[in-house]
Amino acid sequence: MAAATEALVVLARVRTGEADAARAAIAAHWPAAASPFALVAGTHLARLQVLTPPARRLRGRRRTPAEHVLLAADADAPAAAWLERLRAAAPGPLDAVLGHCAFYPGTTERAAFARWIAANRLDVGFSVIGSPGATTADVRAALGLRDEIAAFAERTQGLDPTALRTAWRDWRAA
Amino acid sequence: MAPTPLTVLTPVPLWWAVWVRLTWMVAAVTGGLVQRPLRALSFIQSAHWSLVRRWPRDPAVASDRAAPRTLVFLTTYDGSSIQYIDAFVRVVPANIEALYGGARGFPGPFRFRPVARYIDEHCHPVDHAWSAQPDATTTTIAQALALRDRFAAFERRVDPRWSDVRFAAEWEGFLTDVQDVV
Amino acid sequence: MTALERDDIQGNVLRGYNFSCARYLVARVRDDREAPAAARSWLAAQADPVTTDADWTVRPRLVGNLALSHAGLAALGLPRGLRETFPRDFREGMAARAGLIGDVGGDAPEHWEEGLRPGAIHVLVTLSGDDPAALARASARVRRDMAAHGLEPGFEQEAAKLGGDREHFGFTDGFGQPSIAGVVRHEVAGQGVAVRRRPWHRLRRDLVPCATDRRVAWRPLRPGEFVLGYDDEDGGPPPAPAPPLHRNGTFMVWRKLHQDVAGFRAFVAGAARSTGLEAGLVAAKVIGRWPDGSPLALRPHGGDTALGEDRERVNDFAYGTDPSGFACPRGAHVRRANPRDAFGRRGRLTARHRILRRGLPYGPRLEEGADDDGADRGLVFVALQASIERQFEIVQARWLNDGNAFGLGGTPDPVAGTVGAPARQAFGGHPPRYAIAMRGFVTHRGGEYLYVPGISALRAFATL
Repeated sequence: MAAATEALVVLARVRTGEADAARAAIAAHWPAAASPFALVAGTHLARLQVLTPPARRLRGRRRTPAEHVLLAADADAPAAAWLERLRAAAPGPLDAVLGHCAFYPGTTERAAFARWIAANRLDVGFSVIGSPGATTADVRAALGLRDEIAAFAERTQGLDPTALRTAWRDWRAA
Repeated sequence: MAPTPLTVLTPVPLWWAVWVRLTWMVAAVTGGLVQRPLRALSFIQSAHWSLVRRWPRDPAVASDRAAPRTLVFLTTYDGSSIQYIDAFVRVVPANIEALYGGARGFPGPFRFRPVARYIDEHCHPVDHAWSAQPDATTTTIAQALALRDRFAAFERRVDPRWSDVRFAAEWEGFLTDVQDVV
Repeated sequence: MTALERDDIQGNVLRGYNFSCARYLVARVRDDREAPAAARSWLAAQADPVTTDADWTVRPRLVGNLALSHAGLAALGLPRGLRETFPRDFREGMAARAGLIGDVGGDAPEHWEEGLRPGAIHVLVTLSGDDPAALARASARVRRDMAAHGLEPGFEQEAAKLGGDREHFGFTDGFGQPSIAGVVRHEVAGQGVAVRRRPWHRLRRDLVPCATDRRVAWRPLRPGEFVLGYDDEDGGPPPAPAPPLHRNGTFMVWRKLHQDVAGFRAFVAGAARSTGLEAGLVAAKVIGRWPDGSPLALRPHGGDTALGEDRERVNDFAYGTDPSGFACPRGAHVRRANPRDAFGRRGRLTARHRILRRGLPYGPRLEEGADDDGADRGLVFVALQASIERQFEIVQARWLNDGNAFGLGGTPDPVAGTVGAPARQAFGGHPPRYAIAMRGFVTHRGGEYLYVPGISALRAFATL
């Protein structure tokens, strides 16, 4: 089965001293109840966070590495098209957070944005995906159909064959 | 219940990074064989592993020598973290060993509490996460997709010339066959 | 395996008492300067009268046990450093974790009964026996004693068997308990962990072959799943408070659950009409057993009183041969509460989520066919486990309140789960049948997470 979804993982360094501002920007521009990801067709799962890589011991001392922004998504393939939809749908929220990252060009210029993403994109080496062959539209439609089939099965149980056939025709014609 | 995102970063030595890349190459050519036991756990919406050799990846930015080679694990799962970790430990420890056996400080895949502690020490709070179907689990989605295909096949078979009795029997047979996914 | 220190473990933990009545007395530490010390010395003095798990030479007429909430430990003046060594679930308490376990809507803490509101329970004394009048007299004595020692007695709940070990929905209950290694009767089939049967298992005395599934054998659970200080299924002792409270104790979940018996019967009658199944069969499919206790897994078409009364055989079944739930529906109550091998891989994904149940019904029986009389009736639910979060909360939140683990989406168990929206019950078969439960039939009226100290720990309260 061809993969209908693709993973995108972007890790970009935050400019020194701006990690808290980046987190505040996520809180302000990426509210749980109104995520900008909801505006981007083809988004299965997505996340945005500020994180600090583990620290390496250098000559017995442990220096704190620089913080990074992680942007990751499972999206309908191809990921490049999804990225472009994200840039078009959520320029303000993207700029508010990624604007704290080194050499971030902003969302105004498509090519510059795409180049910056490519420079900071991680290869995914190994993946396990629940339903890799399904787009978001496939999933939505399948879930809706399942609800309809379950409801039809429940309301028509015990009907005589003629009534069942009539109910079936009415349902499929609707 | 909305799925749970988890981000785990674990430092790995060079030799382990080489091993991990090799296993990923094998996984890529074995047609999902390696992934199968993990997918069979039925609560992983997605799980991705990446290796960061250089922090940051962007060559325009100076390399951060304070950050080591790191295995990045991003996952979204259904159920509780207890069940998630328990399933890895009790059902697929070999898979976990293959990914983390040489990671710094990894306590081994066979006991829940040390693994839970390890994950706790290496996980990073996700500031924002979103799911297209927050009320649908991996299992529900897989069931719905399977049902979609089987219903389509049934609908194609339905013959308007069937008697009502024949149709009722066929419908009953279909429901019986798909009851595990309805 | 370390021998269980039975005389240091409170009674009714490893082995149920099987008395017919109980009284649950709630008390708070009084809010005055002398109360904490007085209450602590009272607690320490209970180390002698509190019944342990030691064998009885003569069955006592009346026994007593006690448990403490985290709020109670704080009110008793237990040092903060020691209190903070208790697991987080116990420290937070049931009310604070209400959202996690589905105590929302009508089950939410703001609707709990007056004497069971959050913070009401510092000390819970359980008196058990066969004579209600003797329990009442004992309760009065304990209340006076507590009042004289810095404690303010409060809510009190009576409970008693209804006859034939039945609960209010009419089903035999309480006899399916985990078998624990090192405890008498660990050999009872079906009560342990399902393992794949191998030919060499004949040489192992701790394994009991399943008589109804040739691929399955039963292994007892490690005692650390239920008692602190012993190895659990993870191969080490579970997280426990610091010494001297670290050993031979356990954690209790205590909940007063009101049962809407008339509502359940009406649902069953309606489901019988919509499915075309006989009402008794519908009820059995919702519960997973017939009223006589015989399991649907072994008796899918009708009850079997002889089997229901045979404690050696009644639990000797697995679900591996019935993955679609044709015999016992996937969402049936007993299958959700103890899935056995229903998740495949034998019992590996269920072994660490078992609970001991020690509750009793309360309130008057509603006669068959009678209208709802508005009486308060239900179940005093008591669960014992080493980890509330890993055991009770997983069962309640992930198996009873949610059906995803059984391939049923978010559908809850209407007799023990939180039903926020119409819940479709699927009865597997040729063809399957469906019934819609518009609401649940159990309402949570109040409870708490409690620590059941070992006897040495109890004694130590005098000096903590």
